[in-house]
Amino acid sequence: MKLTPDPDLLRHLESTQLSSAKLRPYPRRTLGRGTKAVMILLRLYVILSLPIVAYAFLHALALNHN
Amino acid sequence: MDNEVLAAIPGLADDEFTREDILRARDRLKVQQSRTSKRWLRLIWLLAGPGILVMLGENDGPSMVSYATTGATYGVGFFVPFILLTFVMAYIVQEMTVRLGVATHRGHAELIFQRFGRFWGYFAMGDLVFGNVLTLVTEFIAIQAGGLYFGLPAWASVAFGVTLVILSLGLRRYATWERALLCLAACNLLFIPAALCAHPNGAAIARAIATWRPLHGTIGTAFITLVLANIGATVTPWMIFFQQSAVVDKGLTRADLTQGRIDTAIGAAIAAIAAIATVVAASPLFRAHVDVSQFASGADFATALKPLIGTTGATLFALGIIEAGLIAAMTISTSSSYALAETLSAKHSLNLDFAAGGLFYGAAIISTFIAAGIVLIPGAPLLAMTLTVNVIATLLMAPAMMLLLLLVNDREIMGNLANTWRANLAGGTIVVGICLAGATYGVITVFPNLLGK
Repeated sequence: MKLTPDPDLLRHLESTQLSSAKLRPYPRRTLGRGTKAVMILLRLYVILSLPIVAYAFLHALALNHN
Repeated sequence: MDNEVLAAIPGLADDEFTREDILRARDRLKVQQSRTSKRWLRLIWLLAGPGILVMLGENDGPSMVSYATTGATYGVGFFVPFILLTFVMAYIVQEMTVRLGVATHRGHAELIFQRFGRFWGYFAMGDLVFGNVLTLVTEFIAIQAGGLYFGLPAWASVAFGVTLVILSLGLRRYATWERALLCLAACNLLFIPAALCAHPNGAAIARAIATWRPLHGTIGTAFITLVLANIGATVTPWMIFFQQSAVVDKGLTRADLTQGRIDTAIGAAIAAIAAIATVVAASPLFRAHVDVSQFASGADFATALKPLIGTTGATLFALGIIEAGLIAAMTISTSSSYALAETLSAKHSLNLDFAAGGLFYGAAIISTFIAAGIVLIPGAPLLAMTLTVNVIATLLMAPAMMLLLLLVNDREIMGNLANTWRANLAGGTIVVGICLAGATYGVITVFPNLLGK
């Protein structure tokens, strides 16, 4: 069903809520060195943790098969 | 009324207003009428939804299995107040997403891409998609397991789940979708009458909350694993992405922040009650010394509880497990859709029709089919997957929480809604706590005999 825009109704939206307004991106922010370092550390934490989870998963499978 | 709108609207051609704008404006009209007439309860009713859905969505299949395992292993004691604490933690995290949503009117994924660039954006999306697909699989495991209790074949339960997810997306109206899911989510409360069938001792529950005791047994590997599973049962990355996008899709503004917070608090309270009810419902297994370590799913809990809490209680338990899987399948698949469409700068709203929202709806439907298909693979290690998913969710939460803290401290986009030092202290404590919990898990996995059983 095609909906017809009613200007009186659309005034109940804030300008930044309009779908056309959302197409305009926010400007890029520069991250500080400290912030980058923490984010890289957290990324390493995930990368190092996942093999341990995979090991635990395979270990549980092996136990079930036995 | 926002003066910017009065200036902006005449400048736009009619064809620049979409179905999404018109439907959202109708919802906003109702909200503004309620606010003007000071009908506060109706205002909360109109603005509630994202917070309750995200909290009850996280009371999903694997979470309820974790709570049942907790009740069956430790009874009513230490874990009752611990679960309450994890929901306080969930409120702290999710309240930040409400502020981000009302301040920016943007979803979480698009904010990460726009403010931090593609490098961090793709990492965040990779984490989300990985975690969501795995979690979605476990939701279908729960639906299938609940169906088995009632004698339904696996394919029938899974087909039922897939059909409901697709039908919910077919509503093509955020407000209707949300209300339909809220009705279904109310069934999470089935765990309360199930708990009453276990004839709980109210004084023992009150004493456990006040004293954090008793804690039966030693603090060993099983205890640490359940601590992690219960944390993973309350805070996960998909919740951050989902609630922020839902707040934006619903059209909440800065004026609605209080109601958004109330919605989140109500959701946390209801979900905590349902979680504790699950612990209480399963506690007769602890008193009967039943070994739950070989249980494969929520259906096994229901079957084992039948002679202890009766057929009614066991049936309510199994129905609750099905509901937990269904509601989470709907919210998690939608969370993937929002995030993927935001990343690809495609239209993303449950107010879109199928022609305009092909990618948005397609992502939810395809991820649902993939998860359902994996569950039906003969011999798939379903129990191991269920347990592993909660752990992965906990590990992925630390970088997701860091990105959330960076965004919510960004005064250029948040203005006066940026985090206070208290919120940063609470958020930072959660990041450190989750990292320590993950590290502890790593150590006990590699050195399983370090703490004993």
